[in-house]
Amino acid sequence: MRHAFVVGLATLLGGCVNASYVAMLPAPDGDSGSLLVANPAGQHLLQTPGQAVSLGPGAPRPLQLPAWQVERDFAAAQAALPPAVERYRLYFEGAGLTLTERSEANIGHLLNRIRHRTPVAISVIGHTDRLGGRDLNHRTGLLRAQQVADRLRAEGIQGSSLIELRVGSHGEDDPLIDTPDETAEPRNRRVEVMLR
Amino acid sequence: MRATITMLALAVHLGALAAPLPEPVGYVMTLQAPAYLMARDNHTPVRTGQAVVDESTLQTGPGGTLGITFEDGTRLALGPQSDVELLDYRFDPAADALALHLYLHRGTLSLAPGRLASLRPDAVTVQTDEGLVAVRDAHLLLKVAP
Repeated sequence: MRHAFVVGLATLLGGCVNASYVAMLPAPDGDSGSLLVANPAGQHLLQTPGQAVSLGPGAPRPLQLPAWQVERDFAAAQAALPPAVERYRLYFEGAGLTLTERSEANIGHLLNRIRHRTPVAISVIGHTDRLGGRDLNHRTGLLRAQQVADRLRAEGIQGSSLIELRVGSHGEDDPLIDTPDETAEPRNRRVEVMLR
Repeated sequence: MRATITMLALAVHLGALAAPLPEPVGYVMTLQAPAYLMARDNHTPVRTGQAVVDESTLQTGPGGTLGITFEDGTRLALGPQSDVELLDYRFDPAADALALHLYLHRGTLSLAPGRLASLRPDAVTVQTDEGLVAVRDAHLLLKVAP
């Protein structure tokens, strides 16, 4: 009897191991979203982290998989997942190119993070508020981004671990705070640095 | 005759140079050999920091893994014995161009969504022989058995 159970369990596990399936992990920010699994035979919407769905010739159907099986199947892939991107915002005094005192103080922390990520690709994107013309704001955004990028270079971030330093501007088109045109909004005068 | 051949060779060479180099859409951030990248008819072992371009294929061998971070912050990792094709990647919100379409032929894949999936619900998809997964801002684990 015990023997039969062991054989039965082995067959069950063998079936699981060799099957294709989709599973959902919790999102780090708690807002999990969903996964839609579809083929010509039907579809299934996964909305709860920890759930799994079969992927085979028939319609996708919910699967009861032990957590350890999913962990084992994806241990190598999960270990290979690069670290999440980090975003930093630097703000400017008035309409000019001088960093606020607080942002100036944050540069040290940013440099520290850059040196700790190996390898690292960096995007430096400038933004403005909607005061003034769109073209002028695009150029101002670019000047702000170049200013920050020059500063990072001056601090010696170029090393073998720096893959890319991309500098760009979204001008007034990507505001943090939506405003009507011709409105001064200090929170939109910023440079966003993304470490990938 | 010799001059003609040289000229011809030069012309072919220039032709190759004139083909525009595709923009990197992401970079290899983690790596365990063996892993290979196939792009524009070249099949090469992957290096850490290597640029990944649109319409390339990534493969891992026994014990091999790799992790890529795309321009929008989407992260993709492959377990051993995996084969994934990057069908299409576009991240240009100003031009409304938002897409990440993959094809997992075999193996295991972990995909942590970035800006793309939050900007458009059906921008990120993974195709397999048995069906399609649309990634709506959720962390996907996908296994395609051999």
